Amino acid sequence: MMKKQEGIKSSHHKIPWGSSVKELQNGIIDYSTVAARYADKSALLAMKKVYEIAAEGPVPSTSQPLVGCLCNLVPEELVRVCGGRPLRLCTEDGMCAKDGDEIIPGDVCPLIKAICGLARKDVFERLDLLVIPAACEGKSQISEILSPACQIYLLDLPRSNDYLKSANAWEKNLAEFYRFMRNRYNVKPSRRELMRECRSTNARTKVFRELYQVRSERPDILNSFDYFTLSYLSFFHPPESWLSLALPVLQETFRAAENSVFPGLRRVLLAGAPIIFPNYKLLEVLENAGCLIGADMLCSAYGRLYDPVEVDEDTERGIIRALALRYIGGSLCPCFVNSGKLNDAAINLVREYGLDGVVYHNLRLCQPYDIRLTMMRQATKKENIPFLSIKTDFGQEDIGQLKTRVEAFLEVLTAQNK
Amino acid sequence: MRTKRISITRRIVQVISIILLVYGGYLFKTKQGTDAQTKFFPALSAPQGATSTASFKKGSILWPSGDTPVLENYPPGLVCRFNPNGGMFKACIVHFFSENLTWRTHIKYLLPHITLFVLLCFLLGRMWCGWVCPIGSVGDFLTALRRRMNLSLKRFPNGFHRGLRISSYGLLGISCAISAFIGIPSFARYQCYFFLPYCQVCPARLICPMFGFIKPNWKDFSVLVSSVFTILAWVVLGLFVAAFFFGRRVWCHLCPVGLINSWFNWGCGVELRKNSIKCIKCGSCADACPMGLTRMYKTDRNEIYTESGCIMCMRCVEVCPRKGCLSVHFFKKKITQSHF
Repeated sequence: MMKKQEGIKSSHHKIPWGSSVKELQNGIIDYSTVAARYADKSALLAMKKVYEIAAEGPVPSTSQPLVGCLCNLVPEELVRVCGGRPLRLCTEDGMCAKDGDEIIPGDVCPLIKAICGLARKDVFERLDLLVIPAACEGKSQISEILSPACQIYLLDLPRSNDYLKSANAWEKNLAEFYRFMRNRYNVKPSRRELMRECRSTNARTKVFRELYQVRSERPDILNSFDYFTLSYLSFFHPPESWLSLALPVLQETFRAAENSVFPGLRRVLLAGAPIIFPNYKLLEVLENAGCLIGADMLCSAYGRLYDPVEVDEDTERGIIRALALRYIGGSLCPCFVNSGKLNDAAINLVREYGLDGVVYHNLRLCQPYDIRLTMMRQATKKENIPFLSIKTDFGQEDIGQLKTRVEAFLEVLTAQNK
Repeated sequence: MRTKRISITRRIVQVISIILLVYGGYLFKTKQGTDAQTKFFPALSAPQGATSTASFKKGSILWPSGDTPVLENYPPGLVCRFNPNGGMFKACIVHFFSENLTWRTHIKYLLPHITLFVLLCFLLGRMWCGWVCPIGSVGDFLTALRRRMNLSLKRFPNGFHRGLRISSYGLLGISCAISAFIGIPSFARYQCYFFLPYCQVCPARLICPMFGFIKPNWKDFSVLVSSVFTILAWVVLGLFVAAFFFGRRVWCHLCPVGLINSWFNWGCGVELRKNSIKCIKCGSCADACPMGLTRMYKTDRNEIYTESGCIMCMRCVEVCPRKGCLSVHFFKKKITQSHF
């Protein structure tokens, strides 16, 4: 699994991309201006601090070894317990995507390109290890493309996330990963420490569920920018420091919810490909049109934070298995062969929170979500739920067109509810 | 981690059941012995000349450690005849069948006991196994010991469980057949060897006396048949300890008492339900099931979940990460549901 590329970090001329890092830089999105823009839209005072931290960019100043992870499929507890600082490096930075275009040109998912582009920024120079789960095709392949830039651990996953078929394989692979991490950082964490990490994840889950619940009722108070920025910060912050940011926001939201009434705007479920700071184009279009996101099932927010780690056996292998079930078994990633549980989850969320429709974010060139679209459309049609699929990427050119489509969809929603 | 409410309740119930079922003899027995016996449940006794446990002499394998119980009833949880001082109830249902098939007791004396048993089974189904059975509690203690020692769980394939269940039918059938056979007057001379054939190898016969700090009858090498039974009992006890220590409730697939209880799992008062649209197929329920059952995970329909192996420990409901996905109903009334 381990691709050994000793000393590659200091000699950039060996990178097979042709040029050195600095030359190819297209520039970087100024996170602070983006953050300031959305901070102005926020109705909550506590969000100010959240945006300030988001403006600082992805790399925290810490003495811990930084372990980059992609997707939600890497159990970050295993990284944290070994003393590493997990960073989820999935990004939707348009500039990074442009940079990445020169590494993997062609019709490749912009998220994959953005990750490749990130490899040229200083983030990767500080990275100690990058853990890539073999999820979709793009993620699996960049494990090889990025190997000159960073030490990479490819977490092998079976195609099916059926418990009966693959649970033992998950357990085995994760145990192998854990062994690798322990050897790399030369630590021997006890299972109590591992349990403590699971508990801190569960504490985060508890707060996130409250946040999710209150947002489903009052999406006007904690708007979708706030919500996704808050989720985005969990990419880089361990549960404790995330909680210190989220709890004031939650309390303020509760207070504001008591003192006001919902203006009766349309609430929809946002499904499909992830939306990650700073790419809030779709959110902006929806928000401006008066179509609020009551709930989401994206892997950048709901999929990442909603589920707890349910440890049944508190032996070491038992905890690893519980982590496997939480991160891989319960995953709603369309790269797995999973018979319709994505559709079930969407329909359940719409019913549970009484939402008006489903907006499906179909990231251009992201194959798994594109293929899933048909099934999702059929399932929602069967349940008589209005459905809108929006195919877009990180570019700003199609905002006008999106706006027209969302407005038309809103008319459908209004007509249906009359 | 959220509080394990169901597990804690279950542990408390298990401890109370051990105290009641095993030490009930010490706690509630009066001088007269069976004076609590009501007229509804006639005491069953051996006919003239037939073998009974009382006729075994001390040191032989079936010599009872205690004498008469407080109540001459046969509840569904595995309660053992060989409890010290008699215990609370008389014996388990397999003992009941074996004994009375040998004694050829008239059905009118058996009916009240069978009715009570069936009613109790319809009330709680196999919950008796998961929450009451003292032998199961001992096994759960062994499992807890393994967890403490950080040894990982041995998982058995589904086919293995099915095999055990078939063997369980075999055990029940053979012990009933032998009991009926030696009840025939012309074969009565075998009664002293083959009386209560299942009890002779049952691990409960060896474990239950130890609760009262009484040495169980480990060995009887006086005749060939009892030597064979002695060795078989040792093997079975070893398997029992290994099954509970390395697996979880694998043993309960083999237990004939559990088998009889499992017939009432369909239509009993306690039922588990799944709201499958809320399921994210994480597999936590199948993973946590001490019996190693997977149907709760597999099913895609909203249904009342029943499976013959389910001991209704409700661990699946406890570990389910989704609110309201799994729920427990008692006579159509919702008792609890999965939540986080």
